[in-house]
Amino acid sequence: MNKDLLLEIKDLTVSVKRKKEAVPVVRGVDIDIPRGGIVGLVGESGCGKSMTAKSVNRILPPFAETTGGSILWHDSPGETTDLLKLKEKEIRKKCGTEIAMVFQEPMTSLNPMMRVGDQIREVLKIHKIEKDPAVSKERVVKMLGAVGIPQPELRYNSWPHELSGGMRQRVMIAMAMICSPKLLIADEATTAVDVTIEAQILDLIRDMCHASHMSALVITHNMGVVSAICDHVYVMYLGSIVEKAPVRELFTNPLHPYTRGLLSSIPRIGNNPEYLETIPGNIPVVRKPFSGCDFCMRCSDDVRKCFMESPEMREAGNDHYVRCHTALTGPDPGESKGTE
Amino acid sequence: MSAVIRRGLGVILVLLGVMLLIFVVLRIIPGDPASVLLNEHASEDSIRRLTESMGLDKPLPVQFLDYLKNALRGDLGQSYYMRKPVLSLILTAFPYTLKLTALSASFAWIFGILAGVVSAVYHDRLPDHLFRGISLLGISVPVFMVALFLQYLMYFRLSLLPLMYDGSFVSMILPAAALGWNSAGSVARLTRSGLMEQLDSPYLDTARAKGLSTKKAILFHGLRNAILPVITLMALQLSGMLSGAVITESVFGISGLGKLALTAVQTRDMPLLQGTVLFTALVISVGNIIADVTNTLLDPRLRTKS
Ligand SMILES: Nc1ncnc2c1ncn2[C@@H]1O[C@H](COP(=O)(O)OP(=O)(O)OP(=O)(O)O)[C@@H](O)[C@H]1O
Ligand SMILES: [Mg+2]
Repeated sequence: MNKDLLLEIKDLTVSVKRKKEAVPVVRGVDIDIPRGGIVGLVGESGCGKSMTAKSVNRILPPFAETTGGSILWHDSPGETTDLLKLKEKEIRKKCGTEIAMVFQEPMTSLNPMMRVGDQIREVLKIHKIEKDPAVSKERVVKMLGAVGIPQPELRYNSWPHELSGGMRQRVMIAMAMICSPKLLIADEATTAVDVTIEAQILDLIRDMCHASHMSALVITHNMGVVSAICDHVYVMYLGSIVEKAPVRELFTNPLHPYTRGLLSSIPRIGNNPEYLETIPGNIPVVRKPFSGCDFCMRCSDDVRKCFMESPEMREAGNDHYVRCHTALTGPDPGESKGTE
Repeated sequence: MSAVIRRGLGVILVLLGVMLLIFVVLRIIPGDPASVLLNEHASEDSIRRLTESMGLDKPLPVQFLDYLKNALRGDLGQSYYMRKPVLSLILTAFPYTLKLTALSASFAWIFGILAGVVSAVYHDRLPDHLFRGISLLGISVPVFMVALFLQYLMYFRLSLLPLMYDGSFVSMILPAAALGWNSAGSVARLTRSGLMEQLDSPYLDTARAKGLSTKKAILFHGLRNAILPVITLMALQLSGMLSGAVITESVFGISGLGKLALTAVQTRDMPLLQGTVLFTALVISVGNIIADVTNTLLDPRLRTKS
């Protein structure tokens, strides 16, 4: 319990305005990121992963806003600021220097009208870290080399469209790492690149974390990515965390039916290749308060309680928590609807 | 390289077409230049002699070829009315038009881009509504109305600026504002809509994640991406300004190219009219080439392709 935490997201709520109505898309999310740890956040498309991430460095789109909770930043143990309470100026000062982010779309996340080297150097300019252009340029070239870009002096002057997707993502990582941040948020950083490049980029992120004792929040909908680099995993469903556990624990003993579904939908070579497991049903839309479990419509356990009452987060031992009525006890036969 | 040659050939074709068109049109419309030049009591004989001396008795194709040949040598003929070489008349008038266009273009573009940026940053809020109202007015009110209104306001009401052009810079402000008004409006609108399109681009999130405020991200990153079509528009506006100059120059008494063309029309001065139209076509073609080239220079994606 007395872990050395860098970031604590506590009871975070984010709402989007839709037809003059505020719809919560992130609902009471708690995430702890230890210093030097790599934390994974998984969940299907639209469950609110990006909204959670963008709340941390406060770059939510204009139609979304954080409506509750706090995001505590522990500069050092004992020195704590709530990022949500910082003034716009102060949070921008932390962005790029202490908190950096890599986005999903390397094709569109770089400015097409600016040389990649200059885009990286801009971070140093914005935060007035290096005045001498020759020195800052050198620093950028070094960084480009460090993220595995061949001929970095030459690549400094490339335009984004001249680089491949993998190279662009490396540029994004170089941009994120140029000030040696304490926290790297990677929002589906490898979704748009092919598998070999994905492995290389994940290795890069992990090595950089280990080398500089950096923490990372790795967002993905791919359990393979989680197993490759994360220490700890949070599973998100429809705006709330339904399960969290150390990565090994989660893979050997998944408790929530949603997590089990995610795990069995990882394709494995040689293991029943014609048949890929899917989770039945569609991603539900966030509706007005519903008292039951959010997953009940897609769940194979058919228990009345699940339709009546929203489950609490419960401890399952081994630092493993789950939000499910049946995961820990098994469906109670007396309650099953089948025995009416 | 081949692109340059292709563009050069294009310009030559356009100029040839313009020459042919204006040549034919001027010969189709009724009215015999010789009888216009001499008064109504002139004898048949003197009219015939004048017609011959002007070469107007030859067949039309021959006349056209003669004109082409002379034009290539830089001789655009003599003005019937002012009795001076057309080219020298044009070259005396052009600097005034150039000054007027340059000043009104800078006014229109600086004001237009600023207004567009402010509108986009504060979209759907008060500054946006204000600037959009002004630019809508700018687009829908014709140049002469703006000119008369500005004269009324700045001279008769406030006596801040001179009424007519007197050679000084201050007296050029009103004409430039009047001429640039429309262009400012459309530049503002295109800048705003271009920027609005960029507003949810992921690279703006990147810029904010790097530590730029939303406004600075829009200004430093968004504008770069929104400005290309605006630059194309601005180059096209140059030709609009040249034709607008006809009216503006008359209202403010500037002896530029527009006024020269107007005089040529009023006096049926064919060589002068041909000359001014040809010259304007040349200037516009050059403007379009500049627009193309700057676009290629500014857009890295186009640059690597060519
Ligand atoms: N442009 C938008 N307008 C309105 N609502 C939106 C918009 N973008 C996202 N949302 C809402 O916010 C919710 C969460 O979106 P978010 O981007 O955080 O999902 P995500 O988990 O990152 O998904 P993905 O894997 O597709 O990136 C979505 O389900 C959607 O309802
Ligand atoms: Mg997302």
